[in-house]
Amino acid sequence: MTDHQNPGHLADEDFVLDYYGELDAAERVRVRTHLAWCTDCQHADRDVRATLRLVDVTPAPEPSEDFERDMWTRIEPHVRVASARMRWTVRLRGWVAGRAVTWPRLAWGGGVSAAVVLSFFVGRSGSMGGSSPALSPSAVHVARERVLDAEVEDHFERSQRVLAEVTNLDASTPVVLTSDRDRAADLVAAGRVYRRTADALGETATSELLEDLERVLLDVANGSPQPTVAEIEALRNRIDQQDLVFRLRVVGAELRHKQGTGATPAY
Amino acid sequence: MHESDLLVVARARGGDTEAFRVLVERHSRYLFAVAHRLVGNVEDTQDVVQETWLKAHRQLAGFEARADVRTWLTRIAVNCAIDHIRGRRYRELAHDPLDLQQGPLSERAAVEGPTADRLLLGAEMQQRLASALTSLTALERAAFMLRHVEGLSIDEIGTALDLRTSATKHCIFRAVRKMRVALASFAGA
Repeated sequence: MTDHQNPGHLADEDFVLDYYGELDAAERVRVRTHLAWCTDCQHADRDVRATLRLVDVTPAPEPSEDFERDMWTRIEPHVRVASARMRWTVRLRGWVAGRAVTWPRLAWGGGVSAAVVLSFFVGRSGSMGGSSPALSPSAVHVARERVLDAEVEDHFERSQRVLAEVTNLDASTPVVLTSDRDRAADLVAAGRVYRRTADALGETATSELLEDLERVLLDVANGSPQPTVAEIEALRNRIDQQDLVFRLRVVGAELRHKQGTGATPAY
Repeated sequence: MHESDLLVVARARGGDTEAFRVLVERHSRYLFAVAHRLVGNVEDTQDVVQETWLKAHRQLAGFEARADVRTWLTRIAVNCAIDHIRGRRYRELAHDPLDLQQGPLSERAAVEGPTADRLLLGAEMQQRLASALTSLTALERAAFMLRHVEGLSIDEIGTALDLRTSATKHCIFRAVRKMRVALASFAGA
C-alpha cells in the first residue's frame, strides 16, 4: 500500500470522510467528481473501504464463562446497600403520600437524610436480604464511603446548578428567587447530614467543602426573595472569592473517578 | 417465563436486588463487547463494565419507561469507556507524552485469547487485525470505534473525548492509516 497524498489527487482523508458521510455537499461533489475519472483514486478509495469493511467483521474477544457471575460479585456489595436505600425511599414516599406532606421538601430535608442514616445502618449490619455473606469491617467501611461519595457527588451537582443560576442572574432586571431559595434550603438540610457522615468517615476535605457550601446556600435560602443588585453582587463575590463552583467541580470529578476506580470491597 | 427488561427495571427501581442481578446476567456480555471495542483490552473492559453497572444502578430512577434498556445501558457504557480513556489519557500524558503515539494498548494485548469466532476469520488476518488495533493509541482507538462502530459524528466524538474537530479527524485518519498498513494484503484480496 502507498500513501495516497499526491498533488492533484484526493487525499486519504477524503476517502475516510466520504466513507463515513462526513463531507459537506460541496466537498462530496468534489470527491465524487474526481473519483469518477481518476483510476488511481478509485483504487485508493477501494483500498480504504476494504480496510474498513475488514474491521466490521471483527468480533470482540469472549469474556470467561463466569463473566456475569464475576461481574455480579464485583458489584453486589454496592447494589445491596444502594437497593436497601431505594426500598426505604419507596416506603418513605408512600408514607409521605399518605399524609399529604410536601414531598420535595421532605425528600431533601428528611428522606435523603434518612437514606444516608439508613445506609450507615446497612453498613453496620453487614448485608441485607439474608442470602449474602456478611461483609468484613473494611468492606463495610468501603461500602459506606461509596454510598456517601455517590450522594455527595449528586449533592454537588445540584448545588452547582443553584449557584450557577444565582451567579448568572441579570442584576439589572427584577428577579424572584423563590424556587432557588427553596432548593437551597433543601440542599442545606441534606448537606448537613452528608457533612456529619463525612466527618464520621474521616473525609475531611469533603466535610470542609460541604461546610463552605452550606454557608453560601444559607445565604441564598435566607436571603430576600427579590434581592437588590447589591445583594446579588455580594453573593456572587462570595461565591467567586471562595472559588466555590470550581472546587465543587474538582471534588465532584474526583468523587466520580474514585467511584470508577475504587477497590471492590472484599467479603 | 421470560420477564421483559422493562418489568425487571421497574422491580430494580423499587430496590429489588435480584431484579438488578437479572439485568447483569442478561446484558453483561453485550456490554463487554461494546466496552472492549472502545478501550481495547480485557482488564480495562471489565472495569468499564463494572462502572457501567454501578452507574446504571444509580441512574435507575432516571430511566424512562419508553426507552430501550439495552440502548440505555449502551449509552452509559460508552460514557464510562470515554471517562476511562480520558483518565488513562491524562495518566499517560503525565507519564510521557510519547506514550500516546507509541500505542500503550499494545502492552496489554496479550491477555486476549483466540475464540471460535476469531478462528472463523482466519488466524493470520485476525492476528494482523488485532495487532493493528492494538497499535492504535487510546485516543485513536476510541475516536475510530466511536465513529466506525457506534456511529457517532465527528463533532459528537470531539465533544465526548474533549478534542477539537481537527484533532478528532486526525485521530481517525491515523487509525485508518495504521490499519491500512497492517491489513494491506487482506484488504486487496
